[in-house]
Amino acid sequence: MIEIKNVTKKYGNKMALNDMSLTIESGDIFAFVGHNGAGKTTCIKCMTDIIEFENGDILYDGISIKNEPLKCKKDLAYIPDNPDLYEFLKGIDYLNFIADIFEIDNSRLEKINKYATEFGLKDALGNPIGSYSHGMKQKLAIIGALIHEPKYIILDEPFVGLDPVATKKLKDHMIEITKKGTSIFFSTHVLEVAEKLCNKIAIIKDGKLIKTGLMHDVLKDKSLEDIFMELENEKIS
Amino acid sequence: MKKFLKLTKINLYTFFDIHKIINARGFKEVKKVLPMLLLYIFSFGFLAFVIYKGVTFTLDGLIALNMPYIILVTVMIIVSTYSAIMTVFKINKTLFNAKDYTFLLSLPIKKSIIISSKIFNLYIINFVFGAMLLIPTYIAYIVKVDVDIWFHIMYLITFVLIPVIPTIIGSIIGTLFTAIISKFKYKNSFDILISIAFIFIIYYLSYKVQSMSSADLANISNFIVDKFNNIYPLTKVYLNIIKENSIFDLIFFIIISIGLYQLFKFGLVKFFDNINSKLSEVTIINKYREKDVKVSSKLYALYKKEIKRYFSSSLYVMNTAIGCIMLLLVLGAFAIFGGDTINKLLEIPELSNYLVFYGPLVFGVFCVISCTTNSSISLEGKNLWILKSLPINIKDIFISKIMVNLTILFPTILIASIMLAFISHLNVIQYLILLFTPVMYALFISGCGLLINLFFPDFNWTNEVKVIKQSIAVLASLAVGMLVAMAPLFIRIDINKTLYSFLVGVIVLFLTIILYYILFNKGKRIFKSL
Repeated sequence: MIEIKNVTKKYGNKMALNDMSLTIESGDIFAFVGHNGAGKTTCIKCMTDIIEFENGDILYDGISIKNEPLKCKKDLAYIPDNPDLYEFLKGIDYLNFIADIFEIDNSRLEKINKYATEFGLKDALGNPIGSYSHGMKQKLAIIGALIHEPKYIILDEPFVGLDPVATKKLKDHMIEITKKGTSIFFSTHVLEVAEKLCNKIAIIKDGKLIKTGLMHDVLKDKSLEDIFMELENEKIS
Repeated sequence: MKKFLKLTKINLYTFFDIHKIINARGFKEVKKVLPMLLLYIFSFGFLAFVIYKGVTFTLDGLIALNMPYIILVTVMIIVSTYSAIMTVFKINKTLFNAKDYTFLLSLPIKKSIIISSKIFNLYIINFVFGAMLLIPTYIAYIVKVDVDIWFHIMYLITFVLIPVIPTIIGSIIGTLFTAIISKFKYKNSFDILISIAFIFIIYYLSYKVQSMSSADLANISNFIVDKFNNIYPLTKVYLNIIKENSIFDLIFFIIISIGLYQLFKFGLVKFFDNINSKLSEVTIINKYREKDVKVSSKLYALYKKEIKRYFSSSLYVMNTAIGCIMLLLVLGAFAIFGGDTINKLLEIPELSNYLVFYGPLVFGVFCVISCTTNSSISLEGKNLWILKSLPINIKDIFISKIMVNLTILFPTILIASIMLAFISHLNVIQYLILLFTPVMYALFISGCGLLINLFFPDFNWTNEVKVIKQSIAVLASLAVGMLVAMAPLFIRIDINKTLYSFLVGVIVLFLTIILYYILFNKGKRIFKSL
């Protein structure tokens, strides 16, 4: 379980996250939705220890990322919105590096082969990442996230740049691993995907959570697009 | 023209971080930018002062020989050589393989304007660095030598023109290098080899210029000019402009500079896409070898990644390993061919004592110029998120970066000290001291470079030249390192030189312990906040 407790993050005078609290339980596929600049990426970066935050805490099974970042990150996988990977490494070297960091034993090769075949990247693993397209980098980052079988996966716009086959594969994997207890938290602008794939949702506006809960409770008989537009219009009026 | 100026302005603002300075709002941002600005001003001011003093000193001698203008020719050659070399290393990623090229091409801007602005950008950077040498020289010259109004006019015009042709020459050489390299499977290794060969050619040429023993004093001025002219044929033209106020030569200089620029631009616009696409071609290897997938410890995995990063950039290798290679080559050549000189040296009383004292200091200086850590944090660039989001101890990240530096320095120190001990017949104690003090220097500068880079990181670079060669962190670590390496020369203690050398090693060890304590405490906190 991930608990975000009263997290506040400021950039200068701008409040990027304002006293945000949220709980992601085991087995959840949690959609994180909001307009550009609402604070989604900032929240994700705080959750993954990429940036520091002023107040509050984020707990992974009760362990604070502030106090014990290594323990938390051992069970965590993160995929950013723009997968800037080490372009000087070959794809296979990157995956081997990730496997070393997560201390995966000799079973790594089997896992790498499995996911690389599924995502159609096996033939390109011998090439430098610098030669990859955006989608191929995204696939590599996804494989890197899956091979160590994390308890929590945090993704920032994971479907951007993926081809339809890879998108389908990723969705299937998301469903499959959450059944085993993994928690997935991802930001997206593709509301249809969020609506169909996720059991929970949080909507953020100007650094504040404005709606959160079970997907069907939030939607009732409306579409997510309608809900989102209503909330956006509330801001304008 | 408007678009050309706009593009050039954006490029230069990014290169010199001007946008950071003028956009700094509020105390926090100003506090971030201020040390960088002050360090820039201090470094450039200090350099200008040193050059002014050096030129004044040299001028005194040249005035006595009635040939003060030689200094102007010398400075012109230095600026030209520097501009050409820098352009060779900058051309890839600035002109070719530039990240913004496809974006710019999608805008309603002519291709020729995009390319012109990029060449002009290279020229301006060379001009700024040339000005650091040309302005103090100009001031020293007009203070020491009587000049007429024509000198000022001629100097000003040539001041603007000097970097033009070297920029074009450097661009052509750089383009050829990049074009040749792109044909090879192992581009990086070949790039490193060709770059080292290029640097050795430059050193060889400068060595040829310096060997003037055969010239008689009366003809020394002509001899020097002839030597320079052999390397750079515009030397005599420049001399005629500056010394004789020759309008004809000035017009020739202007025409050849602008003409070559236009010709180069024309050729480049014609073949640019072809070269650019060839350069971005990637050798497809397809299958990976399963035996390459091996289990390593976290620290070794980080080290492997750092080593691959290091050897992926010829510029990084050139900037940091060339000193080590030269040291070993010079000592090796001396050991093999320096028989008579060695025998004469061995007759000097107390030679081994002097070697044990000066040897480590020289090795120390080589350690300072071979520092890889002072840009290693900045080089993470947009990949920083990987290290920050993975379960890695920050200490391991630091150690892996230091290990790369030591991988270059330790073998160099070991081989160099063995060669020196072999040449000068040192005893075991003296040899151990000759080894101990430089090892301490290597440990010190590796940690020092890393800590300084943590204080002055730059992740928003588009060309790695900026962080590897021209960043504040590199400048500052060079300054601190040189200070520590050279300090024993200025602090005179009347004890046995071998003992003094050992004492220096112990002091550097003490400084290193303090430095690593700061690095693994304060440094870790800084890394977390990046």
